[in-house]
Amino acid sequence: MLSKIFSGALYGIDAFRVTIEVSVSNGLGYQITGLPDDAIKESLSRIAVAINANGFHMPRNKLVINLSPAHVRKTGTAFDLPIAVGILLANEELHDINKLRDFLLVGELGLDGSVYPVRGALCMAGLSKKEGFKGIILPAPNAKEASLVSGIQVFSVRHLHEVVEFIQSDWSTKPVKTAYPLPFRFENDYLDFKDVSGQVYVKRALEIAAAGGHNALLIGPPGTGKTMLAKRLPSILPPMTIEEAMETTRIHSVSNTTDVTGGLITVRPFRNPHHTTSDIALIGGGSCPVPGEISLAHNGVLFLDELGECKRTTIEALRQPLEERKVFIARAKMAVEFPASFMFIAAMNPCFCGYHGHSERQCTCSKRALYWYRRKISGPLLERIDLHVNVDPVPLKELMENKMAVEPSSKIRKRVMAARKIQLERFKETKNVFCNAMMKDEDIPKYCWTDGVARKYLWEKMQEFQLSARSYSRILKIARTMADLAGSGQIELEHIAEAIHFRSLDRPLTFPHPKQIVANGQQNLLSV
Amino acid sequence: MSSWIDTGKMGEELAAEWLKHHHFDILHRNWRNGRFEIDVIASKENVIHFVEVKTSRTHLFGFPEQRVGKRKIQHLISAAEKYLVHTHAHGKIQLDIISISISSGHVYCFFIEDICS
Repeated sequence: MLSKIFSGALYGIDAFRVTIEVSVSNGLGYQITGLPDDAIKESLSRIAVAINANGFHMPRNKLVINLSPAHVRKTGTAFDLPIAVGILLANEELHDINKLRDFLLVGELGLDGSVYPVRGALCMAGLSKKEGFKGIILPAPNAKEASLVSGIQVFSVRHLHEVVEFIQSDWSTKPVKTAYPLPFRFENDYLDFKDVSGQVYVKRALEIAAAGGHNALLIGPPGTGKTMLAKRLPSILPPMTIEEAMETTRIHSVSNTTDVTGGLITVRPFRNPHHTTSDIALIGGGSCPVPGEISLAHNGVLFLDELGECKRTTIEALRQPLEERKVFIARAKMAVEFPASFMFIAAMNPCFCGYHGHSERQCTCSKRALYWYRRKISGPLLERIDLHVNVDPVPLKELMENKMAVEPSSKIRKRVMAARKIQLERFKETKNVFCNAMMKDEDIPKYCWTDGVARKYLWEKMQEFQLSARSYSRILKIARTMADLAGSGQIELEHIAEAIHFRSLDRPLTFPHPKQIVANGQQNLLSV
Repeated sequence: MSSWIDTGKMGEELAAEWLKHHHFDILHRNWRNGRFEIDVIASKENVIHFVEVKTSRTHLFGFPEQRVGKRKIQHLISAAEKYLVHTHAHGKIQLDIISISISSGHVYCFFIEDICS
């Protein structure tokens, strides 16, 4: 007797259909074909126990299970449930009324027949819609996530006998439904910008970064509040659009983290990996590639603290994804593409001792050590970072007296959201572009038009600092965001000037004469 | 008192009965050659069946056929080869298992055909 069940397997952030054929025939022994991985091979013992524990029997003859298409390697535990049901049907323990023909079936099976959650339920639900199935049957913890796909029925099951009931009788449970579109709410447990006194300049930079989705590098001596400020960034990020939220949820769904069981991810992810992170963990990879930190930060923020301490190869691996906003991972077994459109925020010290450019403390690094430290972050990577922000120590007076009014995050967020609204309106016809930083190169002349004076100023400064073509387009994009924040339709001279100011590291590293340091006193050496 | 030997012998008797009942011709019972042994050799429709009989009085430790391992199957194949050499027999052959469960007077025969397919 032969039975056929439809299921799905993951390939990157997409799923493809897998037909599970189970045959019970003359002979002895169990066999599983169709390039299964170890988790699937050992699933047979699990399934046998689960079947016997629920009052059914495993076939005593020869059992062959085929996972078609047989030439693609399959991984994971999502086939447990369909294989178990396939065995029961092939062994004529259940009466097949062809009900399962219209459904995809996924789930991991426990020894007592409990159904456990699987990875990538959202992608599987999308597959069942694409392939024209009526719906999908999956583990209850995955139901919320899968029900985001409209137009299909999502049935959730907790135990093998619920699936048996579904096959044999008219199922009384209704499909899971989710309110769509979902209400987007703000989490209130964010750290607030009002905790940080002073640093108006850095806050302005982070506001620009949040408004336009720009990358930023905070560079300054230890203890000036770089990390503190960056960690408060989520509190001013604009809410996600439905498309952004769906895409982010898809990535989190296929990753090894199981934080999507609550349904759609509505809050922009803020990923903060340690500086010892490996290249693969950051970019994504593995023999069957899984998304890395940059993809998990998709439509959110990737914050790398102590960038100068990161491995050089790790930092340089960011070059391509920063530019292309996606990452293509090729392995011998498969090649997949993960989206990686994230805001890159990094913090680092200007030198090894940390005090280069400090207004009061003397830097103890030699010139050579300073070059060596700076060489860790290559020119091409610096070019890809829109905003270079010098974080100076807060003057003691400002810190102790605490008299200055500090803007709370909610106020800043309002301005950011207004600017983002203008951008969404601007890019509503361009697919997959949501903010100025994502602007396509061909659209730059259209949206970043400047008038005579600003253009002339930009021309002069480009020549003076020998800026590259990429820096040029970055400056225009930042200026566009600044104009959006100011509510200006056109990019003005002040926006261009401020944008160029944020490209301080594009200029060559120079050392002023010691006498000049004394003369300048408080001046920041980095921008000299 | 050696109850497991009795169970085995009883199982073989029952298997032969079952085969006869299903129109098999019994050619040999407990055919031996050296260390090779075949429980029942039967024929039906020009196919020679080499049958291994497994009997048990309880299912607490699984079905009887689960105690037929790879080594036993290999042994059965070698024995079948020896038989064919000795008897100059021709035609199709098939290796089967008859799994007999005896519990409280009830006998249940399960015939597993062609275990090497």
